[in-house]
Amino acid sequence: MSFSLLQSLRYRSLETPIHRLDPRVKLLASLSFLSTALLFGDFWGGLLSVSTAIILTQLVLLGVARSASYLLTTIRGATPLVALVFILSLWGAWDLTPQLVELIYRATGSSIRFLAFITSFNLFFLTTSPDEFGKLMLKLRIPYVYTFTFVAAVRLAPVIADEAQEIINAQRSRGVEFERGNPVKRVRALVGVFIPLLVNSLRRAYEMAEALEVKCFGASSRRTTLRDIKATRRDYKAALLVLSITGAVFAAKYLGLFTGLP
Amino acid sequence: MIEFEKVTYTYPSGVTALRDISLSIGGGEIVALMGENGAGKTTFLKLLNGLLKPTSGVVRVDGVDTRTTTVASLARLVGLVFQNPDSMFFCPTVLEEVSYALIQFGLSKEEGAKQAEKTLISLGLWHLRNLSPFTLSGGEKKRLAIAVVMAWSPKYVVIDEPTSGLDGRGKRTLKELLEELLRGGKCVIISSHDVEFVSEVASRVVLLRRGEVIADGPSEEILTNTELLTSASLLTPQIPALFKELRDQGFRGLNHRCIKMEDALRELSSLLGRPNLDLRSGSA
Repeated sequence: MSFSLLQSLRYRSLETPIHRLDPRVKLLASLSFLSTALLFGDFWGGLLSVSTAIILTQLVLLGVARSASYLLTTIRGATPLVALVFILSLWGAWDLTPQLVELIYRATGSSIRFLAFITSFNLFFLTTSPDEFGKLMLKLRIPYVYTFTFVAAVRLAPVIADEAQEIINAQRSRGVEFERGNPVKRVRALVGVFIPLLVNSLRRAYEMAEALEVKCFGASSRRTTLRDIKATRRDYKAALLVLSITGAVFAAKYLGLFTGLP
Repeated sequence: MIEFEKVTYTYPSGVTALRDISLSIGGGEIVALMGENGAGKTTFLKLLNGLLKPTSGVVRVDGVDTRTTTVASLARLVGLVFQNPDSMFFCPTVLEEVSYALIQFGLSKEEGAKQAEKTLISLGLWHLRNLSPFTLSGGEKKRLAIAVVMAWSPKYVVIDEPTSGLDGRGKRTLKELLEELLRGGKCVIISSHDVEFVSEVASRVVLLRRGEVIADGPSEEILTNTELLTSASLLTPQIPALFKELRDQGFRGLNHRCIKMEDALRELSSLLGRPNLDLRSGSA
């Protein structure tokens, strides 16, 4: 049992062209991945699909950002969920489509589309620091309190994942076996993970609230930042590229260039 | 006997925490793993009960290769107490917390409760039996974490940073507890930065630096070697530091391997020419 899905979204500070991009451009790209995956779910299918193209595009971009392995970690972590989607798709369409090959083809398409959903924000989270994320939210005129809450939550997610892993290790050291026994026994074993995790998280939240009070959080309603995010010529070019590709794909769909299942 | 044979461990992130470690730990000793932060101490401890499997090399616990067995079965032999006791607790009461693992190991509820009662009494925690583990003090939590492990009486007791968060009284109680375990024939392995505590309890010190063993020997030998300790970012314990200072001042007869308080008092009494002098009370 691991928390690889959460771990794979942890920001890694690296100096690459993707990391240096304006976070707004990366957000735009991730939104583009998500919306394209949403829109093209019914077209093509199987392994050859728009969703596959989205995942491969992310793989290439994360390769440039020297973080491709984390996308693979996400995919590995999401495998049980993807398998569940595959089974549910097969089961759901059993009465509608009599041919098994077509059924498998559709279920594969749905599974990959689901994977494209899950991974659509990998590029953004892996290459955007929580600080940049916060500045981005402020640029979008979201009040600072909410921005801070969200950024703190994002920052703490990997910490909590580490802690959860430590608790799992502690319970395994007491003879708890998470991978054995019937489903009821397995769920009961998880109680030993969630209770300490909840208690520790609440304690951490309380301590953080106290630390914020000590640092006079909220004393001033007008905030300034030392470093602001500013788009450069390169960022505009990247944004234009993202919009052009997404626009072209959307236009192609409405012009009927994408047909149904081959 | 725990054996490490050319053990290397590399985390999935690519960080190599331990390199080519070969050593063996037998029964009836308290072994202290020491070294700077990130030296590989916790990784070493997690290899002992199979939570981590070596990337290369072999770890054997009483002849069993940790790669070929489960953590649950190794846990019967190797009881690991985590640095943060809060990671272990989730039951509503102290008594249930201690009996939980016993039930996991196949004891009935009644047998588990009976054994837990015995353990809590022996560790002086019986009066806390109905409290929630989360409401205990730092020292009590540490003792409870040890009680949780001691309940099933593993042959090897492994404690990660036993003195972190403990006050003086807590450390004294812990020292007595470790000595009790040793008398009971257990092998105790601790990881610690606390040179004073280690000098009082450990019979052997393994010094780690950047994943490699740089020294392994009797504590009297390692903890009096200032250069070695400094190279591992550790301080020299106060007694050897004081004795070194005295020797430098011309008191040549002092034992340069002295690290324990009792031995130091004896040495100083002889130095004063009054071997029967009780330096604690000042009376002859």
